[in-house]
Amino acid sequence: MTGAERRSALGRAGVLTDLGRLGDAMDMYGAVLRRAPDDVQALCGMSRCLGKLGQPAEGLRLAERAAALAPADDWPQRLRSAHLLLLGRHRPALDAARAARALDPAGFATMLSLFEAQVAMRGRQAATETARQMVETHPGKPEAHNAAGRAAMLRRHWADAEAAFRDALRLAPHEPVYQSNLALALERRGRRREAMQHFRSAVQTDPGNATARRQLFHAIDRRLAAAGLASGVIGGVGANLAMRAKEPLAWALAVAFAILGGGAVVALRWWRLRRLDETLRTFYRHERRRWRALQREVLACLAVIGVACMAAIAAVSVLTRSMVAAAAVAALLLLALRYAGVPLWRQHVLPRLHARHGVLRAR
Amino acid sequence: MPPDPELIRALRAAVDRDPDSLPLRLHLAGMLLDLGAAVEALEQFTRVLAHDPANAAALRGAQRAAETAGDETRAEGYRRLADALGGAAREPEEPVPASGPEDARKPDWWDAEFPTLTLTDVGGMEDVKRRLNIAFIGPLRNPGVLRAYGKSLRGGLLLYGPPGCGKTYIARATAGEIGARFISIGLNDVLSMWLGESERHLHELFETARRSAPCVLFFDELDAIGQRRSQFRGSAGRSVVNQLLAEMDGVDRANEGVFVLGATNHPWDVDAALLRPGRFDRMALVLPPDRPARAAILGHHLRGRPVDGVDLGRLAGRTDDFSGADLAHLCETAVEYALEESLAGGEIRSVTSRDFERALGEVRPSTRAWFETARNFVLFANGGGLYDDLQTYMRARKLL
Repeated sequence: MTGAERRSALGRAGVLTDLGRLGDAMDMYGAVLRRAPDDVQALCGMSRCLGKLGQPAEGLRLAERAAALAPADDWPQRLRSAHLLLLGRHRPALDAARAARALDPAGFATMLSLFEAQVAMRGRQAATETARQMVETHPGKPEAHNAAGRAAMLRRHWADAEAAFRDALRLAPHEPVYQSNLALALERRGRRREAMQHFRSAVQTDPGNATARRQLFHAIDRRLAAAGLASGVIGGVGANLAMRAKEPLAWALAVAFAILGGGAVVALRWWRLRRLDETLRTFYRHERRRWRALQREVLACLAVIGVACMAAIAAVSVLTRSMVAAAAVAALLLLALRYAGVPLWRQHVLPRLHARHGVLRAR
Repeated sequence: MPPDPELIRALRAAVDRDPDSLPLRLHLAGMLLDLGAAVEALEQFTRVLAHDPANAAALRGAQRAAETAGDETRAEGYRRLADALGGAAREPEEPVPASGPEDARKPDWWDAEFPTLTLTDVGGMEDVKRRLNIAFIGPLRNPGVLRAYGKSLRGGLLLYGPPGCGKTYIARATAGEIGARFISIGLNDVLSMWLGESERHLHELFETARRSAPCVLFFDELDAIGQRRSQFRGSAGRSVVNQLLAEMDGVDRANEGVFVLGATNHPWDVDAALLRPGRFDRMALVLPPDRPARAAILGHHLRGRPVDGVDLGRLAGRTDDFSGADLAHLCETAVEYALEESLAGGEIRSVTSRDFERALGEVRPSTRAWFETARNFVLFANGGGLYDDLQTYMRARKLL
């Protein structure tokens, strides 16, 4: 493959990635890598595609190979950081982002990568400082103002966050994520009606944007969750009365209030949902179905793991008739779950479940 | 004197032995036509045209065969094609070759061809056919009506819908129906444009289409070339869209007779300016095939294969939401199961309903994911009634 052919193939693959045609782009990167397995640009491009396809573990492997081949290039380090964040490994992600920043201290992309890692680590001061630098050095970049807004949200400075998100929107009025973030800031400030309008118009701007959809869905969910408060109040009153009353009246009161509490939740949720217009109701119904399908699978997986662990402990306990042995097995299982199970869950199971249900992972 | 049946039998055997020999096949087709077997002759002529679309003898022969078989529409299509090829004014004009390594690839950017498919070859899709007829085919065939209404023969139609449902197929059939030149621009051509001198390439493409009028210019995967400009990071993509807008607008009725068809699975990613009047101002939804169409598609894919006891109607009933491509995949999978057992058993056995049962457990309809995505656009981005057809369909199918 000549230099011109390689450049052309990489250029095409880059365009395909931007167009969201990840399969075609990966074919093209693959063709370059078959001829030159150590091509850093192709490795990084492929790694980027894998991340977008919800396969961060595979993407990380390629990014690490690229980083080893080009230690002076910041792109592989940024990719490593992004994949590690998706895998829930925040500390190494921060280290990779710092390495990228060291390679290109003034680069906007490296600053953004570091900011993301700092936000994931909940490093409020550090994230705020990075966001400030981003705004200072790149005031024309809307993403810098968005980062400033997110940093303000972390510090619970809702008014600052609102101002920063409005600045970002002024620079990129068609960006649904900024609008959605603005809605979040408004919601925190108690301007719920205005917030809902912004959540909605974010999805209207780009109904395909997963972040905007997720935030609208959760905003509606929070609105409906207020019904749970009523249930809590009814439950509290019911428990109080039942404790004071004598049997069998106490039982009757407990049952009556349980039914009342459950009914109140259903009625209030229904009433609040009815107050939304038909578009939002339909949207919520379908999104909820998707999230519930994901929740069901996650719970099923966790239940299988839990039952298997309990069965193992019970079996050891019965066979050895020794509580010490059972406790040792329980401790071993806990260690195995912590150091093998959790990474496996984060790296392989959860990303696949999210990708299968088309649900964006909340960060 | 009618041809000797023995001679025809021998010719058939020769064609079977050497299926790529076009003169032999043409000779056989002519003899079949002389014998009065017009349908079979038409089939042979069509096969010749599939290999060599500009073969004048085959076009004339196909016209005669279609006339004899009573298929006037098809005969008219072949006649137009033959006339277009015969007239010097209709000779295709290739873009001016230029020097340099980039320009050396220029003839590959687009392939001008004369499709032999017609709309009668397309099962179902009545609404899409009706729209095509109103927009282009009818006015082209009736210039008097066109003049009476003062309508110009230009504009564009955007075909959208789930993948694998026949958008490209119906576009080719439209060109075949009117006997027009068909220029197809795919994703790879678009990428070449982006990485080269995009504006000049697009201009040359439209110039070729204008010189070849009537001509159908087909942009496959329009969302790739005409993506929303707000989504582009670099300026290259924006300039492609700007040039496309300028070319579609044309000047002084320059685009008269150039019908631009677009196909996309993501109409929501197409720049809004491209959907304004004079450009892709009409949209047609190409839906998954309905039950009778599914049965016909299944029958088509199983034609010439050993099949035993497969109830196509029942199978069609169980393949709701399957696209044409999914149905083809289903048939291939079922055939593979039969083939696998035949190889293991050493005896050829027919494809049975049991094979289809197994295949149905494996092949899933690919259109559902598309409707999942489309739902949010119908809900939130249907302000101008752009997706009314889709909304009606999804409501009827309880997808909304």
